[in-house]
Amino acid sequence: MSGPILIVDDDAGMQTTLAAILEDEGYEVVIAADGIDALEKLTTIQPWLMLLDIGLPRMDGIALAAEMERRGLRAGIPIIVLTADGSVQQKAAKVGADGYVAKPFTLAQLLEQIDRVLASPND
Amino acid sequence: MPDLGILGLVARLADPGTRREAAQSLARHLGADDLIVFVPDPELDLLLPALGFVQTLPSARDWRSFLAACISAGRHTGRLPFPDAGDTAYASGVAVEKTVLVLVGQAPDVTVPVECVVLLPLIGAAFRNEQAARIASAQSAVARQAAAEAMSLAAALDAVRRELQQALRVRDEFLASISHDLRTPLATIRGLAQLGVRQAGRIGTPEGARLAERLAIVDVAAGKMNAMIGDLLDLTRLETGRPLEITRQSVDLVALVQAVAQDYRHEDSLHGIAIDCAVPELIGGWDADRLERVLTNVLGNAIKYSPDGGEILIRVRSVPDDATDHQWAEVTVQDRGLGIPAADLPHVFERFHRGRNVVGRIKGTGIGLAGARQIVEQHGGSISASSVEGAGTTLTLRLPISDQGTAI
Repeated sequence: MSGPILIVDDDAGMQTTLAAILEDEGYEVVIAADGIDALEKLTTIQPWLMLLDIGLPRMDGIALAAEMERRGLRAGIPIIVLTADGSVQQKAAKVGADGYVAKPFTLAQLLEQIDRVLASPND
Repeated sequence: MPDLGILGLVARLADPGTRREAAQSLARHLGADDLIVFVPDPELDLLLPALGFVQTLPSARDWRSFLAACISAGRHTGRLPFPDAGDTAYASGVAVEKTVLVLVGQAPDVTVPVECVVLLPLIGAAFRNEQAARIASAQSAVARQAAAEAMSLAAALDAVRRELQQALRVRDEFLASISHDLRTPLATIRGLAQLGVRQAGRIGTPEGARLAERLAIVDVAAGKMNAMIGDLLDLTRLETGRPLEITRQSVDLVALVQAVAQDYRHEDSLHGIAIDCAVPELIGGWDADRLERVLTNVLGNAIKYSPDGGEILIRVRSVPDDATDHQWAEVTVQDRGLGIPAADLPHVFERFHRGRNVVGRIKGTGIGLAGARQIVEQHGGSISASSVEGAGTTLTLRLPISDQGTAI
């Protein structure tokens, strides 16, 4: 896989954690703090995967996915939803995500979701 | 009331003084519970012809007919206070027509169920109309008031219900929001602890190994906090009778049991935790997080309630259903601890119920197993306990495995 993984999360602790885990796995990461920030980053980078939090300031995860769809950016970027909401599955369905992980997650759960997206044929 | 027999005509009262005498005479015979049949003026036309007849009633049969006629002809009957001598309304009625007929009767075989006093006020039309208007106005006032009270009661009840629903919603929203806010830092703690375990393990020195071990404990502790948050949320759902939103995905029960046991092995060296799996894997469509909480809870109880140690044996197997060709996934957790007194055994899955042999001795809230049962039952499974006090407890949970969910 070429390109970085885009982490979209407003929590600084979570940004550090996800970046540390993914870098330890050998992935390159780019961090965005909310939907607006993510859209800006998407003008300059082409991530092969996006880890998306739902509750975000300015533009939340669901709105970001819809906006990416509108701008034709959605195809080719699989999304894994990460949220501490009780209804992670429903949120993932709303986004049309390729996977989801409830916070707090285990390393195994997160990496398994990423591996699954890696293994599935890219759309 | 003494047995008066038929007193017949007691008095024909021409003036208040005589009436007072009659009233006092009657009052001596009447108890507070005696029914007074009061026949108001609209019936007078009907009864007037009977008045002459009354004076010559010769037999019980005639009394019965007369009283039955009074009652069944739609007369106003009911409990009324015996008119007092100073009752001016009554006295003015008397003054108008000068005559009040008081009858006291109790015939030996009268089927009218109680002793009766029949007061027949013979009064003028003006007084009758005034009385009727007063009664009608009083009745409509009473009716209006009753209707108003009923409406305000219904409105008050409705308001209370709305307030209660609002309060429950506020509480649930608060809990949902606070649990979200608690889980976010927990995700950081767990994520970095787990990464730390992995990286410290790579150092390859005894110090690195010790660090890894300690970080694993941090992770387990944070995991327990997360489970408690989940329990708290589920508990409010249980309280308000709402079902849990079960998120089914493919889960290997064997791996889950091993992971939960491993978590406890990190922090508990007093008990040997042994796992006996009849199958290498046992996959079903279950809610992984909640199932992990159930196992954490059940195994946690086994450890907590065997304070003197002893082996804890977890068995995992699949058993056929007696009635269908479905299979059940069965997990039993057996400890050699304090056990549950027979009297408490039927109640261990009730909220806040705790065994009398552990109250005040071992900390607990009595919600763990209630939550476990809720989760297992919403999967279509069952949970049961068998125990011998002083010898240990075995918890058995069964989950249907025919309904295999798939992860998205």
